[in-house]
Formats: sequence, C-alpha cells, structure tokens
Amino acid sequence: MEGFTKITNNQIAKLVEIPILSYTILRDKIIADFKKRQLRCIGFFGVEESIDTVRLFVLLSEDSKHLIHISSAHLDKNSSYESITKEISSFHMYERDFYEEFGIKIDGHPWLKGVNFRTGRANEESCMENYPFFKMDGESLHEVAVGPIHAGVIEPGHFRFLCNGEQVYHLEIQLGYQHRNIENLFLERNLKFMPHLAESIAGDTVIGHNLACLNLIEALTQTIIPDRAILIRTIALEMERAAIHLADLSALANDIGYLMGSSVFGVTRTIIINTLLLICGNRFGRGLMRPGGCVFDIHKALTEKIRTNLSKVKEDTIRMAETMFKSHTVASRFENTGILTKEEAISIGAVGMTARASSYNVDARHSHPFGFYKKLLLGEKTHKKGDVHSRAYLRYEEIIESIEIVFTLLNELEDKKTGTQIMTKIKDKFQPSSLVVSIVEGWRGEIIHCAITNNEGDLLKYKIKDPSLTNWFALALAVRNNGISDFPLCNKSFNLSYCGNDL
Amino acid sequence: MSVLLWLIQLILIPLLSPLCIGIVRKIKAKFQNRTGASVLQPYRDLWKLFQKDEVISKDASWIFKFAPYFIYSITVILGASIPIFSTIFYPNLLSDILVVIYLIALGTFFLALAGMDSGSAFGGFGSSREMTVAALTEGGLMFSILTLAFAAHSTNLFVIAKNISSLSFFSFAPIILAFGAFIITMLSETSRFPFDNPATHLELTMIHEAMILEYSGKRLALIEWAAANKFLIFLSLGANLFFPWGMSLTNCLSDTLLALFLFAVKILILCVFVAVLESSIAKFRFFRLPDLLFTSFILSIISISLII
Repeated sequence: MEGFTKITNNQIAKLVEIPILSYTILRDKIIADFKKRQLRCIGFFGVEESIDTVRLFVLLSEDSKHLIHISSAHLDKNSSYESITKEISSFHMYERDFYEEFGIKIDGHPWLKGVNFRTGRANEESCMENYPFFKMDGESLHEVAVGPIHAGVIEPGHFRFLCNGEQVYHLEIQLGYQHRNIENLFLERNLKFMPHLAESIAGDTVIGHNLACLNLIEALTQTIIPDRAILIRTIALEMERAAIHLADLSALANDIGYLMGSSVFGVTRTIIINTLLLICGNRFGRGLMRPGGCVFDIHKALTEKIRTNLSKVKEDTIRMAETMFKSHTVASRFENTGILTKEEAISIGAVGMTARASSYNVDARHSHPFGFYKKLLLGEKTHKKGDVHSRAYLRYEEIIESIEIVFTLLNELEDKKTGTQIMTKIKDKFQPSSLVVSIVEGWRGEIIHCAITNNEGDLLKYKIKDPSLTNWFALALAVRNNGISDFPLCNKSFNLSYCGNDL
Repeated sequence: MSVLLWLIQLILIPLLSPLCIGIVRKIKAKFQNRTGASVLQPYRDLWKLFQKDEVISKDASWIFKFAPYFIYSITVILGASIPIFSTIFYPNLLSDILVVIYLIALGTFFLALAGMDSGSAFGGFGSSREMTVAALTEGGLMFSILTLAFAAHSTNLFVIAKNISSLSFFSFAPIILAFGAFIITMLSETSRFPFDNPATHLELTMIHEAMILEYSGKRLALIEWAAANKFLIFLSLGANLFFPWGMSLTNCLSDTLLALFLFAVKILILCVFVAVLESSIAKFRFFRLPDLLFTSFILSIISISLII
C-alpha cells in the first residue's frame, strides 16, 4: 500500500520510516483501500509532538497477508478534521478515544462522546455526571437505568435502556468507572515492572495481556527467548482460554436457571485454574511469565498431572455440554436471542469469539501468528447465526480445541529438541525511535499492545487495545428488539471487560 | 380437644412454611453437588431480618408500609381456611373456592401495588409482569379446582376433600388432568421454575423478587414469610384436594396424628418434585409463559368436560 509502511506482528518499525501524510490524503487512502483489501483498523492514536501538534498513527491490519500497515499524519490541535467514521463505521470507537485524549474536533462523527473519561483528557468538563445519553420520546417509552453498582460480583458500569414495555429499543453503555490511567503508568516504569502492570489490565485476561506486553518488550530489546518458554507461555494462554470459557458457560447456565450446568462447569473451571496454580503458584497465572522467558518450568511429573487434569476436564465438559445443548428449555432461551449479524459485526469492527460467532472470522492466531502458533495448525471455527447459542457453542468448541492444543504442546515440551532453558538474559534498554505492535489472541479476542520509543530508547507512548473496546457496541446491537429480561443472558454471552475498556 | 385442633390448623402453615423452603433449597443444593445450608436456614434468615432496621424510600406511600402486614395476614387466614389434616372444620365460611382463590388474588394485587409504589423501574417491571402472569394463571387455577367442585358437588374445600377421598379409583382420570393444570398454576403463583427464579440476583429478569426489591428488615421478613406461606398453602391444596386420603374425619387424637404424618409425607413428596423440576430445566423466556398457562387452562377445561 502506497503511503504506508508494512510490518508483521512483533516487528520493529523505525519512526523515520513511517510516512507522514497530510490528513486528507491519509483519509482518502484509508477509505479507498479499506473495503478493497479487507482491512481492519487495529490502532488509531496520537503522540503529542509539540503544544499544538499531534502526530496521528493509523494501524491497519491486512489479515490475509499477515501484515500491519502503518501511516501517520500531523494534526493541528486547534483545527478540525473530517471523520473517517462517516465512511467506515468501525473507526467510531477509535475516533472517540482519540477525540477524548486530545480534544481535536472530528467533524461528522455521529457519536462523539467520552469513552473512559481518562486522566488528563483535553476536556475536563466532559465527565460521567454530564454524559449525554441518547434520548427517545414517546408516550409508551420508558428508561431503565442499571448500575454502576450491580447485583452479583461484576465490575461497575452503567447501562441505560430505552424500552417499550418489555422490548428494548436501544441500550447505551457508559463506562469509565474502572479507569486507572494504566497506559501512562507504563511510561513511568522500567521494563521489569511492566509485566506487573500488564497482568492487572484485566483480571480475567492476566496471561493474554502479559503475553502481549512481553512480546512487545522482547521485540523492543531484540531478545530471542528459548523455545521451552514459548511453549509454556502458549500452554498457559490456552489454559486461560479454556478456564474463562468454562466460567462463562457456567454463568450462562446460571442466568437461565439451569443449575446443573452452572455447577458442573463451575467445578471443571476450578480444575483448570488449580492446575495453573500447580504450575506457577497463582490460579490466574500471575508471575508465570517475565521478560526473557518463564519463571516456572513444567517438569515431567507436572506434565502428567496436567494431562490427567485436562483429560478429566475434557470428559466432563463434553458430557455436560452435550446434555445442556440438547435440553429444549436451554435451547429455547439460547436460540435467536441477542443476534449480532455478520454485517453488524463488520461494521463495528468486532473481534475475537464475538466476531467468529457471527461468522466473521477474526483470529489473531491465524492472521498475526505469534509464538508457537506459527507452527500450529488450527481449525477455523465460526458460527453463522450470531445468537447466544452460537456464542455459547463456540465457547464449548474452543474449550475442547484449547485442551487439544495443550496436549500437543505438552508432547512438544517432552521432546528432547526443545531444550531445558526457560529464561534468557534481556537487555534493559529499548531500541530508540521505534514503533512496535504486539498482537495476542486472548480468550476474548485480539489484544493489541503498541509502543513507541523516543530517541533515547524511553517509552513515549504505550497504547493498549482490549477486544472489549470495540465489542461493547456488539452487546448494544444484540439486545435491540429483545426482551429486557434477556439482557443478562446476552451480556454474559459476550462477557466483556469493564477495566479492559476503561484502562 | 377441638381448641387444640383449631390451634394446630391456625399455626401449622406459618410454622412449617420456612421449613418447606429450606427443604427445597437443600435438595437443589444436593443436585448441584453442594452441601447447602441447613433446612432451618430460612428460620434463621427470618429471625435475622426481624432484628434489622428498615430503609423506606421517602417517595413511598402508605401502601408500601401497609402491604406486608396485609399480605402476611391474608396468607395466615388462608392457611387456617384450607384442608390440612382434618375435615372437621368444614363449617368454616372462608373455605369456599371463590373466597380462597380471590383472597390469593387480593394478596397478589397488594404486592403488585407495593412494587410500583416506590417508583423504581424494577418494581414497575416486576408488577407489570406479575399482573400479566397472575391474570392468565387465575383461569387455570379456578377451573382446575372447579373440576373437583363438580366431582364433589360442593364448593367448600373441606367437603371437596371429604367427598373426593370416597370417590372410586376409576373416576380419577379427570382429577389427575386437573392436578396437572393445578401444578402449572402452582408454579406460577409461587414464583418457581419455569416462571421465575427464586434464587436469581439479576434485577432485569425477576418477577416476584423485583416487586420486593425495595423492602428491607422487618417488612422484608414478613413478605418472605408470606411467600413461604403461600408456597405451603399451594402444596397443601395440591396434596389435600387432589389426593385427600388419610385426612382425619373425627377429632380423635390418634387419627389427627396419623393425618399430620401423612400430610408431612405428601408435602415432602411435592417439595422433592419442585426441587427436581428446578434442578433439571431452565427458566422459560417470559413471552413463552402464556403458552404454559393456556395449557393449564385447557387441561382444566378437558377435565371438567369429562366430569359433566
């Protein structure tokens, strides 16, 4: 693509090599090529260059060629720019986020309001108290406000329903309660501390976010880590995927009052996270991976233990899931509830299992392979319908697939060729004036960490994109025209992260 | 002796109803491989709630404050006027079918009013759903018991119980059909599966729980207790109207004790039934509930036409 630099996942791009276009030309190029080459926006953020100017970076992914196209433009803070969202709606979250950070006016954006009410946002007056909710008028319409404090153990977030009786016309989701300014905390810390921050981005994706951060650190220090460490990291990532999917199946069953499924899936999920506990001393995999490799090895006896535990999990999951998905009362709740069509998924830029359940195949393990996935042959799993049943069934299939992957990787681990080293020395200085993108397919979808260094090798910008940022809108679309009493079910079928969005 | 029997009749329902809830919960816990709380936990919960202070919305009117006492008293009156262990109370004026069914409806009406009273969105939802369901349930409930009235040639519940127990075994087919209809309305009236999930924490899906969301402390205790009473009242109606064998016809002590024992066994069987049902199916989508209630109504119609 003309006017763009292309790199692959975890490859360094020198800042000087990234073209600087005028915004109008950049916009035209994006609009011209977006549909034709089936691109996806994976990053749209700015770096402050002086008091008045911001350098805007745009990252586009070309999945079929495993490439990331990068370009940039200088924007003046005091003028305004034509929105890309008008032409390509999947930019809308990115432009909102960009607008919130720098306050640069984006003309023609239909929905320009706060995303997470970040610290140091340009317009301090826009806050959660005066959030401009979408309004509808009509005699039979009424609003239902839920949250930010919810019943049950979930994170804070505000949901505003516009209903006609039991039917939902529109749902607006207002987040920001979990904002911790985590992107800027990265800039203040050295690389030894970065994994600790990454592990606390989202409590249910500890391994996913940590792996994205580590891949980025290792790319920026140009470290090649031992094969054994890569294997252990991949095992942990797949175990996390299986564990959270099981927890969500349990929660889905609980929401429709299918108590047997709720308790059996809950128990099997515990087996997996307890196995992670055996590996690294933490049920969520905190402290397992650090820059340069892994801290804990999986030795012979542990390999056997993991095999027995996961075989049990696999057997129980298949038995329970087959019973549950065959039950007619469950089917009547799951099927045709909360439909997200493929067109909708594409138009909002949905990623991960949410997109795959609507037959939009986005999987970073295929499109931007990292670690051991370069060698692994994965099946493509998608579902057509995009309803709760598709998402639930996809989770079930992914659990089984993840367990199979772990079995394969355990065999590799026992292979003599793999070696015994799990840690390697790492430089403590980053490559100067570089940009690197690290993509990891967490259980929710692709996690993107992107870092830019200055000419001394210090971090200038650290940008995190959790799959939740774009996928929250999928929930809002899915509940439209559904009964409001089906909302908890739809919500659980996506199970998006509040703090992953709020950062 | 009859004073003692009256006393038992009066306090048995409020006394045992928390235990029934406890038993159902315990069985459900066992189905989920959990130990579960003791069957006496509902008593402890009530005791705890009675000790607590209340928070009442400043927008609430007298209905909100008055409704729990009213609803609770209705269940106590109902408990005293239905056949439990003995048929000797038949001169009781409140034991007519119409009186019982519409006393139940009166309780529901006040609960729905109280739900809307504090003006919260959830309360409104709960009340609107409850009234939708209650309106459809009424037909099934009325007609299923009417079947028995036709079979027993009386609308007095005690007389029905007495006459049904002397019917021949072969005339039971329509009564079994009517029992099927009754069970559906029972699950609906007592907010059990597949109509409502009594254990849910999700405000948006609740029916009964949404209406009482604003209550706390002593009034919440009364409402919870009333709900438990209503559950046991329906179990007793099911057990003693459709399968009335073993009720004592005299006021002699040994008969009474035997009748009480058989009553406990019948109630236990029904509790197990409810618990097994709740452990094995999912809650229905709200818009599918009318189908189920129409089924109940049609079953009753069929059984009535079989008798007439």
